[in-house]
Amino acid sequence: MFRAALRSSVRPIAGPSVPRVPAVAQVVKRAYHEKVINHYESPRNVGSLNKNDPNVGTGLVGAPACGDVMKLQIMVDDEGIIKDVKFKTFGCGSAIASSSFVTEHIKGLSLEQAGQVKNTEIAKELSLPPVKLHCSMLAEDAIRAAIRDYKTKRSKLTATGPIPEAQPEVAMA
Amino acid sequence: MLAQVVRCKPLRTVRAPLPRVLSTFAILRQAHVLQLHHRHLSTTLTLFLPRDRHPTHLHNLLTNKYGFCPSCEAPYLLALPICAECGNIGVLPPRVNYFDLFELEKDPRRGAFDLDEKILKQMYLGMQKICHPDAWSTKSEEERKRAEDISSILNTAYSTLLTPLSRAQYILSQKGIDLMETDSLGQDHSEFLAQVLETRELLEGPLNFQELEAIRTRNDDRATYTVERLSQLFREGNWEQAREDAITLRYWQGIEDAVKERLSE
Repeated sequence: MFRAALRSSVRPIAGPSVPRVPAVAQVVKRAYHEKVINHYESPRNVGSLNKNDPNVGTGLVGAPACGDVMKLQIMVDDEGIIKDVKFKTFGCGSAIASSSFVTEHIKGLSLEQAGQVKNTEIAKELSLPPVKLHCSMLAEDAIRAAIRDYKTKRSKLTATGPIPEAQPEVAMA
Repeated sequence: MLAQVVRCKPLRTVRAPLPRVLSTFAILRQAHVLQLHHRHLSTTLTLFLPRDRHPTHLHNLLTNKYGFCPSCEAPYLLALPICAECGNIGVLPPRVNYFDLFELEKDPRRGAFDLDEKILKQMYLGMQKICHPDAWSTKSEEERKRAEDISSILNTAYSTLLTPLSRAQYILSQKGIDLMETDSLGQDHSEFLAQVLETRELLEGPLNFQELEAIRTRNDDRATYTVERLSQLFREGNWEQAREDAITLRYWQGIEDAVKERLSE
């Protein structure tokens, strides 16, 4: 019975989910800022870093209202500068654009600077409409989560001894 | 009061076995057939009410729960402000409770979440028949507009109650609990998010039909489990946990949508 319900052709009406494919066409009509469209159509820094690498911090956050999930990874050098950023976002156009923008923005920043990035900056830069503000918030949360993960990892490592070489990742989907 | 009810005849309740064509729906054997004659529209509506709701509907009629037609004072037969006698049409408040509208149990503790989708559909179709544009095409513009508005509310109500996810969200929103825009899942949900991400990443890669179906089946199982949990939580009145589980279901729905998108390629 439920199988049929989940597969029903009637889309759940609650939640402001935007269908991923038509989003591009609608985006143009609804006059999203061209930066959003640009980031959505050609997102920067998509991909994954080795999450077992001691220099990599992984942030994983979700937006329940949309069912969005966002992964943001930072690679930090010994001076505490973010050398590389990768992201993967499954969600609406604005969430993808926000995370793509953020990866460009925080590359080269120190952890402290990156931790101060506010969602309002992201929203302003991309001219997000009010209903999509939570997408920029998600991106902000993702940075914080990645930094927190990195710091937890480092403090564990310093507590247990010398930093080991990065282990090759085995099961990466 | 009774005299007014008598005026709304012919109202017949049929306790006979269901028509053969419907017996394929085993669930309908549990339902009563209620036939309402809409004299004004010259149609007979056949409604299927769950066995335990049937006396309630009669009770509602006898106590005139639905109120009276302001024009001819005949009692309304359903939760629609459309008079079966004189055809007067009123305005249905858009914020009407959707469970009330379709004669369904509305108390989540008594199983509002576990509604029978087939009965919902029958009620919906019957009620749409009453406000179908064809039935109102010869009426004034005002009346046509009202019928259209009611029809549109019925559509929204139906699609809201149809799927377990939107139904859960609706029940929660009636309790003042929303899946807030600004909420985000973080550290405490990392295991769950990793599971979602893994499936979504899998769906990005090259997959054949069998592999897609396997992902879909696994997702269906998880969703079924979540719906069962939700049912239990609603019965217990555990709203906070129900909200959590509704969020979980939102993610399974997202995966289902992604699978469908892949299948349509």
